[in-house]
Amino acid sequence: MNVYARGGSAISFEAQAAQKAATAVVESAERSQALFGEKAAAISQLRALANECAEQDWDGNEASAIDPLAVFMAEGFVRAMPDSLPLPEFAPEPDGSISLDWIQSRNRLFSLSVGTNHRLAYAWVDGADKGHGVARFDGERLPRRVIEGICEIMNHGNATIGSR
Amino acid sequence: MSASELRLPNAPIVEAVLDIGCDMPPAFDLAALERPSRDRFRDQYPKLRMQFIHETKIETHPDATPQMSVRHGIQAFQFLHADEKQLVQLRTQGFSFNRLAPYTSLDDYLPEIERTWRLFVGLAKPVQIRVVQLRYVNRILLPTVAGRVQLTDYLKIGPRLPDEERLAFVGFLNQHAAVETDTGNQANIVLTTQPQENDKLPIIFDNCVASAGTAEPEDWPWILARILSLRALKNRIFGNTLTERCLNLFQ
Repeated sequence: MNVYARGGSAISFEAQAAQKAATAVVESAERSQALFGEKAAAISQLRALANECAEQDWDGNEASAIDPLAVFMAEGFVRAMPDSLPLPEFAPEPDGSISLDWIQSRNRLFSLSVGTNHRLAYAWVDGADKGHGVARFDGERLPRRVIEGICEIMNHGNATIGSR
Repeated sequence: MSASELRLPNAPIVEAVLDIGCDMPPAFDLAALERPSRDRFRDQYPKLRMQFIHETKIETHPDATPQMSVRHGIQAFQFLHADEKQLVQLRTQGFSFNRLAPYTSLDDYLPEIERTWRLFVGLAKPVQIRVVQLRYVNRILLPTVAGRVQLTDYLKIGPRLPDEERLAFVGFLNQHAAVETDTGNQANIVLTTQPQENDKLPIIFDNCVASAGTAEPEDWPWILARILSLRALKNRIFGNTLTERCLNLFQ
């Protein structure tokens, strides 16, 4: 429903009417604490961060302002996350992107960068092992390798969550 | 129900859309394609509409006038026939072919879809295909009696009220998402109402099917095979959603 409510390439009045009806259902669900409470809180934190870093030079070191499109993409990422996946911490990046971090410990973490396009750069550290890559996020479904990477770090290798 | 059985003289299709979602080159700039794409599509699609992402930012500071900034980005070029009943879209994430009513048959549009897809590939140079999606938006006018309609007379699937005697539908939204086990094709079926018009209750039946998988953009036979597979699925969904009485409305 969430994906449907975001619309598509159809242009007829009827397609828009159906999308509007779906949007109302999604908005209603997102007002529910039980259904969306944790994600709503995470998105609220994300927006607060974006607000704090909405000006150039927010770090006193000539960092770019957080790009509103990056905020939009990061919100979409959070909405698309399976409920069983732990929510990330957010951090601003000097180029206007947003870092989403899953930190188990200093030596076990997964981090990905959400910018203004559909490419997600990610990196992970697991003790002495580390790696990085780029995955495509279509705005609807999280890339399988990102889900597996987060599970690997946060569940100590017991990756049981499949991509949606 | 086969495709041939579904040839309805008064089919309720208000829009049919074929989307081909692609991975675009990392440095892809849609805006740079405006002029060359105009030149390529002008003969059949003389009208151009641009679809924008529009963003407005208002900043307020104590003791200062609020500052407003606006940012635009192009999301799609829409090239339309002179009568605006058919269009081709160059999107940041791929290609779309839209046909509005009157609609005849997918067979009639496939040659044009192939032609315009090849133009898109030449212009945008997508890296690979990600998904093929076929979507049919139908609008069905159900007859009412004394302002009420028995939905089960017309819909095989759909909502039911918990108290049929003392409750009357004012509206509903029904969505089913499913996977075809044989092919992996995905279906998203939406049924919803519009406000009643005289003695008719308009129902929107959005029948959307998609096939995920990667292929080379030049591989039209692969795309065509996916389209035909999706067509069979969407026809089966159509036929199995509506009752004979409903189908008779389109004869």
